[in-house]
Amino acid sequence: MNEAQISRRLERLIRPGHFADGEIEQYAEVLAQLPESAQRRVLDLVPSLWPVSHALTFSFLRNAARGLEVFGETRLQIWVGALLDAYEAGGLEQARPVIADGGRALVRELRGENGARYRDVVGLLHPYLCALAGRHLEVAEGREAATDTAVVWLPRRIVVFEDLDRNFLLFKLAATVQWGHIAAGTYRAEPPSGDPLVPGLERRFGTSWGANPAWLVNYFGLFPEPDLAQRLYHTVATLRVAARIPTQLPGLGREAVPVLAEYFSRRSVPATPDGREGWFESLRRWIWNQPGADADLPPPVSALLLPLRQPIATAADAARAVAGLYPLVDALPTGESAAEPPSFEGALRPSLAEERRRARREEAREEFIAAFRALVDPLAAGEQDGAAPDSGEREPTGKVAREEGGDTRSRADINIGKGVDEGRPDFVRIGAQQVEIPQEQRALVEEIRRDLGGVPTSYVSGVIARAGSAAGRFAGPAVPEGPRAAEALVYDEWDFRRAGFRRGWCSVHPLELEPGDTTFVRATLQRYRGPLLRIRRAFERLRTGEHLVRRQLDGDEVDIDAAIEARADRIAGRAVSDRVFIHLARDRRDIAVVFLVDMSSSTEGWVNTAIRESLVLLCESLEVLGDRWGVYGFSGIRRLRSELYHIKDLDEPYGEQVRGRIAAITPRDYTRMGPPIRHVTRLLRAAEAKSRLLVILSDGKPEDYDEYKGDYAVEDTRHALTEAKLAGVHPFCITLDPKAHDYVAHLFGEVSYVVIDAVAKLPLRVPEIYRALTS
Amino acid sequence: MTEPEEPLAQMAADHLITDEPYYLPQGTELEIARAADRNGLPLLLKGPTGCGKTRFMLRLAWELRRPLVSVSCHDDLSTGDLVGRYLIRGGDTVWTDGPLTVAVRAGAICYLDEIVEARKDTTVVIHPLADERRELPIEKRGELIKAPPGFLLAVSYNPGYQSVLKDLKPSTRQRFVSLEFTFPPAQLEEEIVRHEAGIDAETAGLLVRLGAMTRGLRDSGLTEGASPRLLIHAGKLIRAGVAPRTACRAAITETLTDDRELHLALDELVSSLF
Repeated sequence: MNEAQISRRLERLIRPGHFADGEIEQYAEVLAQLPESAQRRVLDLVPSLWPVSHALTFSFLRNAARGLEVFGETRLQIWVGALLDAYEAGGLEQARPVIADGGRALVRELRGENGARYRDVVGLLHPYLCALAGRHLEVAEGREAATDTAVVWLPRRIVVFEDLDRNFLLFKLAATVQWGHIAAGTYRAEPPSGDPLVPGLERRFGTSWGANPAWLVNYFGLFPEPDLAQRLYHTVATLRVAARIPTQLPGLGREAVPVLAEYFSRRSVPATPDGREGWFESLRRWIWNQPGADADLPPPVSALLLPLRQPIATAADAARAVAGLYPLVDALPTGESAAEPPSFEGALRPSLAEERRRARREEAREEFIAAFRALVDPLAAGEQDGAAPDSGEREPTGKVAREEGGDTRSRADINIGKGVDEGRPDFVRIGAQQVEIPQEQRALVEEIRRDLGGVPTSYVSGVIARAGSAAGRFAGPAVPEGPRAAEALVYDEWDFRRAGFRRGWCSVHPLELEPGDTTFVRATLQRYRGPLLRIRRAFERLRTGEHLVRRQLDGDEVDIDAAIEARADRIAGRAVSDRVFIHLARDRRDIAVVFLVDMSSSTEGWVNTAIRESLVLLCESLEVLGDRWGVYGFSGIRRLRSELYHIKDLDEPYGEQVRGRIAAITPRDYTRMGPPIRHVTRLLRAAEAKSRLLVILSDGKPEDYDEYKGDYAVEDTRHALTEAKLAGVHPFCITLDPKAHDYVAHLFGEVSYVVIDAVAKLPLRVPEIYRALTS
Repeated sequence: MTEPEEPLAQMAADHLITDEPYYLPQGTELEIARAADRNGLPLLLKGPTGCGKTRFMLRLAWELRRPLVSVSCHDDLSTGDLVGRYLIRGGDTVWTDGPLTVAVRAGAICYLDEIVEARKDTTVVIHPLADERRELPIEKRGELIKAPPGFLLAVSYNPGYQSVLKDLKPSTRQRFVSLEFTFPPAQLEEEIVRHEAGIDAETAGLLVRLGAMTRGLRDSGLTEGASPRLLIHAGKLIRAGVAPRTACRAAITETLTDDRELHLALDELVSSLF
């Protein structure tokens, strides 16, 4: 085909209106150089690119010869596929390098030689980010780099340069910038209450404050063109972050200089430098300290921006700068489509950040109430403070969130309440009581105060409402679930009133627990990756028992027998052994343990999650030890339906099935403890082991729907435990019931129980306790 | 008593601290220690590794002009190792004093580092020394040594390591006056690192920042963050002309972990800072 034929063909494929004068001839000229078969191949591929991006199609046409060089005619499709992938992942910017080198880098990457890919760098950048932030952050793959202040999303890959090192540096920079947004408080831009910024804008533009939960979104909404405001805010926020990097992370700052210089030298410049895009681009270059960028910045702009480079500048100052910049940019000619921002700048996510903030606020509220309700004497708090809104009842948690979130412009409507924080930082006033904040809760209270300006009264009334009370209980009977594992077994029950057994009173139904989705287990393992490592290491040290070995080369004591023998040998003129010490060696564990897990309805929610998490951590760690262990869940309703859920038998290998069953542990009915204890005691008695251990994980008193309550229940459980002890089984109880001190000592004996005061501590405490128990 | 006086005097001279050790107090620990010593009360130093517990003991011993006998405890350390034992020498058994006995006899300071690492039975000999009896029974010899007024018992432990297994029993804990050591506040730590390593304030500041970052990695699998001691090591290497990144890698990254990914992450922190 000659140029004219190609031009005609192109005009048919692409509507002519999209070409500038002479442009089509330009492409035709390039293509005319190619052999005819290649021309057809290239033109055949145009329809697959055209609907996605016109600019991409033109780039493709310009660079077709390079692609053909690398891929040949038959495999040109691979290149086009990669172009589309790159474009979809990161726009023209991501696609550009794939185009520019005719796919050479792509070929290298296909061979595994190139590219900073998320899956390769996440293992490294995750701890990097946590260390920078000084707290735990989640990292996930996203379309572009962004954060909601708890999760940092990173792009699938960054392929800007031909070599991995520089691509990785950009990746690291992308991660660092997101950390910078968290550290610089980009998403906490509310100016102090009474600030004239918002009313001023409302007057200026005749707009009013929106109903979005996120302050920033409402703020952007005040401007006639919210997208422009958001773009400006992202730019100035990036400026604050970029200004911090050289001082906070001098090494990265230094290393980034040549890479960024190269990056910007390759980056295309907008066609209209005096337009809006040109303005943003020169600002971007100024932000990233590109040489010569200073000159391009008009004085009014730099006057607004220079102060933001100072470390004392706040996010509110950045928001204020947006109001100043807006008219300057608004006046500039538009028309050119926005250039793809650099991948390391990422994106702004004010709504997600707000969601996270609210979720965290709600969590903090729950933690606050859970932590303080145990510290407060319910009577004293309730009596003198009539403000407890729905005393005795559980407070609907959503209500408070709404109260606090109704107006996000200021915090004025959040009732901080006099008397809650009385200028004594170490105390909170709850009702009539001054409660000293325990050491562990200081960070929490500090966080709440920072977030809301003080501890809201609703938090305090929440504490009063729930002071001393346990979680609500399920009231009705439930349908038994899961296939039967075996026939029901009948057990006696102790009646303390008659000081005798009720023969054959209860039946225990062993049931199979249908394995659930193991995502929970994987998530737990990921979440506790660090602690798990420590637990495992600690368990490894336990692998041994202690026993004395005689006739050693060295040791703690003289082995008298060996010493006498050696002396005799010497006198007799025989060869004298120097093995005359006793050494204390460690090895051998001979333990069988069954964990009996409370599956009563009161474990609903956090408790259930914590119990499952602790089982996961425990099971993973127990694998190291080589002890024989089993796990059963118990629940049930009335004496004839005590249910024992099989999770793992003593000698069953630990695998996917068991993990699935752990994940499937759900709150069910009541807590009749006697029958399952008797049943498990029987199982343990049959197991051959030197030490037999029964560990009960529970969140409350034994209790059933029928008369199994109060003293009767406690006495039966106590008797069942005594039976276990007589059978050579050591019972031990880990309980989450804050009131447990009243009765567990009676049930288990002074040293055979642990009360865990915060649910969140359970997962890590359980393996620890087990370790202490068996060492 | 068959022990000659001479080795004891020799030992006392060997363990005397002659030069003032560099020590910046974090709080009132020196005052408390002086008062405890005057009243014959034993000291419990708790805190993470490398944050100045041993240096504090050196400083105290120097100030009190008394010999300092240090014992690093380990999980095979038994009563015999502390008190002494019979050794077989040429067919006879000969009694040899352990470091604790030596310190008691000499009226010195005995510092048992990481006491929880020692075997449980060792606490038995510490108990009578740590209460108002202040005596050391040597069961094997049927001897009871009364500690002279100069004797001061100090033990240290790291609560961060082991919470239950390697915890001090309350009966042991409750005999001691406790001094808590933590990572010093950034400014103090900077000053310490700067002085100890002999480097400029800027480098010291960066090292301290690095230290603080590693301390945030506990949840990611790092058992413990970099202690001031590690930071000082890195500083010393830098002063000796090793490139900062290389120095941090050798003194901090490699020392803290063998986990490959954590290792790489720490490396990135180092190269972000230096």
